[in-house]
Amino acid sequence: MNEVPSSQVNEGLSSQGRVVAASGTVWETVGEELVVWHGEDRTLHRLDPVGRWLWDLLEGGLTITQAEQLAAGTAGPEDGARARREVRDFVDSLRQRGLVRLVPLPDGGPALVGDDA
Amino acid sequence: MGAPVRTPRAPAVEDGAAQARSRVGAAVGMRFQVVGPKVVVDAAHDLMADLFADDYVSAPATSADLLRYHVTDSAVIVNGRRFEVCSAAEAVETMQWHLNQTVVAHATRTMTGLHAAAAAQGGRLVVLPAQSGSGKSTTVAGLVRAGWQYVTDEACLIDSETLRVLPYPKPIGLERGSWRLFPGVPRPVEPHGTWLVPAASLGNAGVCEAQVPAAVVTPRYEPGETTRLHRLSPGELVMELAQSTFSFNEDGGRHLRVLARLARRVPGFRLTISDLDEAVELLGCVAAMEGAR
Repeated sequence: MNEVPSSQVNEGLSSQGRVVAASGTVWETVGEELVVWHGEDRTLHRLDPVGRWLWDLLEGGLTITQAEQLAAGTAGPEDGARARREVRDFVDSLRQRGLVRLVPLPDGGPALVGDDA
Repeated sequence: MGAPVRTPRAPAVEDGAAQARSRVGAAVGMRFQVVGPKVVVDAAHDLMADLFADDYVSAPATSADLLRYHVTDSAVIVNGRRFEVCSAAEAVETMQWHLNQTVVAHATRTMTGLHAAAAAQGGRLVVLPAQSGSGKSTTVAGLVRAGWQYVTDEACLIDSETLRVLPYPKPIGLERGSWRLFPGVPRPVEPHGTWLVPAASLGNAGVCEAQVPAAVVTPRYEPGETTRLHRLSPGELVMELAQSTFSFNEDGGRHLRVLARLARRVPGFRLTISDLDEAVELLGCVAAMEGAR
């Protein structure tokens, strides 16, 4: 995935922004991977096991920030910053492909899982 | 090599002429009828014996499904659409081509169709999805010659519920570059372009019944390379299968569900082919391995 400045990802989002699958997408898990069909632009995408894990987290309701925290936590202290950046890159890559849309949560709105505010 | 067979000038079949002939066959729930000069209809029957045998009707046909090919010495006319031809061989090839299109369009209303060849050994079905020119027909011809049961060289039609592949045992279409690999196989009619080979002329193992695949192998002919297998992840397998799925773009969600179920259930491989006999051996190993699981 291309490196994308994180400011692009969070543009217009609150820190509790969420990811929602775009309309017309259908996905299936196969083994540790995930395959997503974008029905509107008729493209098929494969996510590797890490991508599938992140998709499950985000599609399951975690905010981007929460997913970053989780990824950083599992990566360990030395790789935490890299893990956060990769989550943002991943989300941006999904967004650029039209597979997800980013939904800002109202300021002070409830976090769905945990609360990193 | 026999001389080209030209369609004789015969009275129209509607006149009830002695030279006229009519045959009815079936393929994946569709019935079709070929009418025309005896020589053409007999040639079609000999080539498409399994389809004419009416044994592979997997779904009840309705009268609306009857496809009528009217063959003359210069054209194949189906449902009012006319295809110009110049020989019996070309007439049969044209009919076969049209039948393929129609069967696939008909079947994929409810099933998922793969542009794929398939054959079975020891009751284990191996599906070979690939684009045209990848070597799937040549490979399946090699398998049948080695004693495998034939399923198809064109379309694997997968029941969306059971994942069973329905046989579509049309004649195997070999392009000119592969003809030298099958010396001694009778060629009663000089091919117009594609040599349509009845599977029975390559081996006597018969046609495989509908069953769930044991493995999926995507063949790719690459002369000069080493013939080898490469294991695909389930996700890679879905991507490969989608590329070979008829009309995937028109109904991607439905087909994706079927392909994903298949990929969860069976292993996938990519087969690089340079030598046909080596490829057949490797595929025998795949079938044996899946039987041992």
